[in-house]
Amino acid sequence: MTESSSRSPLIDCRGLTVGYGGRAILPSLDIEVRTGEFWALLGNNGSGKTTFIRTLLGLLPRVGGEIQRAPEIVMSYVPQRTELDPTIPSRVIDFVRSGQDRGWSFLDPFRTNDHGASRRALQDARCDDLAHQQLSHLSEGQKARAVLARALVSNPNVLVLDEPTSSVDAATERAVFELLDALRRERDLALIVVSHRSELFVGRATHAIYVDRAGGVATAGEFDEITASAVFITRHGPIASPAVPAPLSPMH
Amino acid sequence: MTAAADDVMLPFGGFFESWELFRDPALAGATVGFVLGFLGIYVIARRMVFLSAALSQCAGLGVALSFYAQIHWGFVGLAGSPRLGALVVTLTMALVLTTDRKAVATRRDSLLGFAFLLGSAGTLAVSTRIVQETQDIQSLLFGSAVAVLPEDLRFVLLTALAVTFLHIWWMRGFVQISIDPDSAMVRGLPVRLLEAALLLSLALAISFFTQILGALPVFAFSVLPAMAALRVSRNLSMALVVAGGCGAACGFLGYLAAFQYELPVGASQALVGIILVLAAEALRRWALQGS
Repeated sequence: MTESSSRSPLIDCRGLTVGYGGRAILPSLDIEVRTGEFWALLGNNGSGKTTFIRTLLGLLPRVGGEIQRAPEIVMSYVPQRTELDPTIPSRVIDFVRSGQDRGWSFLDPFRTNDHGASRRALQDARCDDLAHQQLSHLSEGQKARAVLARALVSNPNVLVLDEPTSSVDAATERAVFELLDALRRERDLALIVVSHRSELFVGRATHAIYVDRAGGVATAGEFDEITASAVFITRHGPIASPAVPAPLSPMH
Repeated sequence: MTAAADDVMLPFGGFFESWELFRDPALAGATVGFVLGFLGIYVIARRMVFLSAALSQCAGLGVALSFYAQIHWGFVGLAGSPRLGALVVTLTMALVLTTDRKAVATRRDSLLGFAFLLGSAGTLAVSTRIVQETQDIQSLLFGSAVAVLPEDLRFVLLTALAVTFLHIWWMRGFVQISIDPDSAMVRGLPVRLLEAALLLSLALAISFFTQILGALPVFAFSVLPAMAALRVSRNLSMALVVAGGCGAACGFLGYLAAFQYELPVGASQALVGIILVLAAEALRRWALQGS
């Protein structure tokens, strides 16, 4: 038994079935996500990854099964960056602070800014030097770090990222994954990361979910087992060896 | 004042000399411009710039239906009030729009087009059954930025106060759901409720203000000040304040320019907004070159 598997799960899915309009697009899955685990959600484009993750987050209704979340769970979600409108002005510091909001009271909706949390999040995401720059003026790699800082500012214990490196070059992509793995260890986070670039998870991810809508496949387990399974290799092919690891900084 | 000074015609002097006469429409324009200016930030952030055009047509349908109900069904008092009819139809359409939270831009555009056509075609169709009231419908539907009665100004001020209070009180939520609704939902914000409140406040403002000032200035105020503000602001909070200021300037200066240059008031207010957008774009480019 690994250290993480001895902890109680933060997310416990039993027979989780995802889809649209009551129709399943993938077979049901059982998964348990614990503190310190790094989950890779793998699959080709259009395979059902985003539907799965949005159902897990409660953004889409599930078709079947159960999702139980631990009372102490604090989740943060980083959508694909294409969903952020570049015409809306925002300095990095304002953008990060806006991630502090958690919960809501209609009678007392005012927030007390925790400047310490914002500073910590910026430092942890290695972007404290960008605090007063406009988000729209940043490179894609810098934006990835700012988005990550915003997700960290509310001190989550589960961090979910949808294609966090979809528009960056290969070197920055590796650096972002290095940073994510470092944050997982430093902050004792459970990470769930969606990417169609499976080689980026090698040596970092502890667990994997593989989905293939066309082939009617959904399977989950330890990363090495899933990526060595016949069902994965038949459909996806073997994972290429990771390239030379990139340093944590600089990212451009 | 000396005789020499009397001979010199001060720019806009006649306007301020007759301030009592022009006060109500000028203040109504500035107030509506202020409110729709900051609301416009949400309209642009949510990519719904034709919202006010569509909802003002729906307000027209509500007015026409109220007259129809008065004439053919004997509705009297509040039940037959055109203002209430406009509000009910506009709020209903706004609620329909909130049900489509994840709509892609093309689908949202088509929904706004549907609302516009339902409103405009419906108004024309119902009007044929209430021909004797056409003049009243035109007046209520298109308003007049020139002639604003004291009771209209009071109504504008009350509506503006209510909408501004709500938006200061719940600004944090409205901003979150407009820039990143999915993350907001994961962090426990009641996105659907806040979206409904935001769209209903927009619908209420558009419905009431269209009946007093007319469709053109209302559409202009809900788009142009926000466009200008987003070009020169460094964050969304600043953009909301700047857009409110730009909107108030459009409303007041537009009225002033209409007086001075003998222009239609609504068009003049829209043109001032366009000038502000161009000035803001020039300022943005100048600042970018300097940095």
